[in-house]
Amino acid sequence: MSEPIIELDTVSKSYKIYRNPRHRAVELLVPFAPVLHTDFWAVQDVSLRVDRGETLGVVGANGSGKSTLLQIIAGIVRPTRGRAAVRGRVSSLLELGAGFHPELTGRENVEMFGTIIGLAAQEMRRRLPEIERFAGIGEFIDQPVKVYSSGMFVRLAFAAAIHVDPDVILVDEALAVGDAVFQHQCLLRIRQMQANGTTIICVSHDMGLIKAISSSVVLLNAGRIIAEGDPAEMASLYFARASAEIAKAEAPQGPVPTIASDSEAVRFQADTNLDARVRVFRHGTGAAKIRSIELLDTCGRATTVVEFNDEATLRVHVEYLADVPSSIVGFGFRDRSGTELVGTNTFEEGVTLPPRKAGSTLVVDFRLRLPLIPGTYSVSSAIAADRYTRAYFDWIDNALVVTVSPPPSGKAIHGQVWLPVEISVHPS
Amino acid sequence: MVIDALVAPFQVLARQRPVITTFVQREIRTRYVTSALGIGWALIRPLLLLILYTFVFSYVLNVKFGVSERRSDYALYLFCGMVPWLAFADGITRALTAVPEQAPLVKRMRFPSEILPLHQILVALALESLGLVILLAALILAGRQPGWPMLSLAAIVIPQFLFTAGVGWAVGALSVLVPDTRQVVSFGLMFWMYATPIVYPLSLVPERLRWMYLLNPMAYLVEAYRGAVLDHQVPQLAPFALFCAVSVVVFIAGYRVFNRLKYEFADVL
Repeated sequence: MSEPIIELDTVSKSYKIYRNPRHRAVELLVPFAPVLHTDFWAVQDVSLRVDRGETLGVVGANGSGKSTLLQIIAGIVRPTRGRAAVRGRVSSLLELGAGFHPELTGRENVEMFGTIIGLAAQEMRRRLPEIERFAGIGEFIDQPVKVYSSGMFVRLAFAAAIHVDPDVILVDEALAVGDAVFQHQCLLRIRQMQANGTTIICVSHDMGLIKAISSSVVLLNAGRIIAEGDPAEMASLYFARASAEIAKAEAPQGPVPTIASDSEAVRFQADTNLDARVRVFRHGTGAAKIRSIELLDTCGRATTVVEFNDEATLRVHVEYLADVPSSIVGFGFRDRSGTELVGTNTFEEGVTLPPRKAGSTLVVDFRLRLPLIPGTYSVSSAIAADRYTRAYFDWIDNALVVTVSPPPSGKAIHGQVWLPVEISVHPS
Repeated sequence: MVIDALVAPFQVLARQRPVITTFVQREIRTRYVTSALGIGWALIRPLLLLILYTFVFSYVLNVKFGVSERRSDYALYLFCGMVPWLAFADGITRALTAVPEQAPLVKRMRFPSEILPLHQILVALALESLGLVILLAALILAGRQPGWPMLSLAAIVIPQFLFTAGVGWAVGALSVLVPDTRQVVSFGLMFWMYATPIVYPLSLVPERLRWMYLLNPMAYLVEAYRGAVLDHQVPQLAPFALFCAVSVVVFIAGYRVFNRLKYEFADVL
């Protein structure tokens, strides 16, 4: 086996943090000045080997050191300690069009980009037709890039970045730019490059993308690699950690309310933090109020993470503040873009809620499965008199954030919601 | 090791030649492409300064160069000193902001940031040649004969570039990390200009102070330009060799400063 194309040996990078920007000058210019900075270690003791043709996914929460790690591989940032070796030409999609000059034409900028990245001028000129075709910006190639739309700019920059025959390509959320057609074109091109043996380092929060293209994944936390291995496993781990973080952030300050055991009757409980938490996401007449919303796993424990299509219970605690002859309680799951994917209510499911007096309470359990594409979802819940009145007693958006983790089987989910399906095959 | 350190700055010139060339061309094109007068500004500015200084120092203060009483002679001597000085001062001023101006490149790409101050200095020298053309035209208009010693400028410009580049590297790197550098340097340049015999001849300086001018490489440079262009004198070997040596030392030292500080650029920009 040839030597790895990327080799990081206990690489660390610290940034000097100065309380006062002047301190940097003092430290620099005054001989024997005291140390005035504190070190912030963005990346710590990271060792990594990436072989030619491999695709490495890098995942981790914001601030876990992903970007710094990429910058080290790209040769932009020099590690404070340790050794980083990259054997080949690196093209980065981190900041598309970083070297473009607004006054120069697209063509000139592409040629200049080639020079910067170390390609002879005639080499770059030879590739120009292909770059033009990929970018698909037509006549604009001979206009100064300042007149480009942001989409055109990115397409040209992307086209230039991938047509320089890089040995290593660094991919960031940059892929999420441009329209849908262009995104597919990009992904297709990345697949082609993978097939041609280009090494790819991909940083993303999109576990779907990570699982789709990576051959292995490292999970970063606070600048260190805390796990590495199979993409599906790492994605699950990432989700598990993310939802643990969310749970921690949302945990009430005081003692956690005791969990109802199976034998115990379902009892009304008010979440004292709910009102403050959802204040801006709430509207309604106030004849009844949602006091708590929780997601319970199969053992009845409150959770914020459920596995794809696993059984769970969404429990809504309602308190009536007026006499109400009839009511409907419902919920909905929204994805990160705010689109409501699934939802229903007691009326649609044929359940009639009893009349309630002011001061009484009600707990409604929705036993459900969440066959949603892994990711985070926000839960809305509402209570109304009936399905015909517009005035809701109470409506809460963002009542709960729920994470759906990927199926352990590694099954890919196509679309946003899995369609329960039975397949039969009939050979003739 | 020592040899490496000494050779490194020269290797930059060789290895990064394509990038440097591209950047010099780009800078010249883009600097003037948006202004109505275009490259004309590169000529107008020195001409305006020439008129201003001639008025103040020749008409008002009655400063004279050499034996001649003619005002045109003052203007010629002044202009001949201004051409290399402006190339130096403009180069340094541009070098101060060269790195921050290209922050995206330095922060987002693997980019040899050392070429940034360098290319601005080369642009300044390239524009200087326009000044020289005007100087030549003025020379002929004033009825003087351009002589072959003028060709020695081709040799003088090499240490001139090395000296400017060294200073440019040092202040260019420092100004990224210590913003005050810009103020210090712009004041320093003004001070330095009057400490160099540009608007007055060295002969007007009292004997006992003249040794100070030996410490100023720019004074040598200005005098060498005047010798070559106006007085038909090829530079003398010993002072020229000394100037070359000083320039090489400054070039290497400036590079070392830049190289030492450049890894912090991405943290600051």
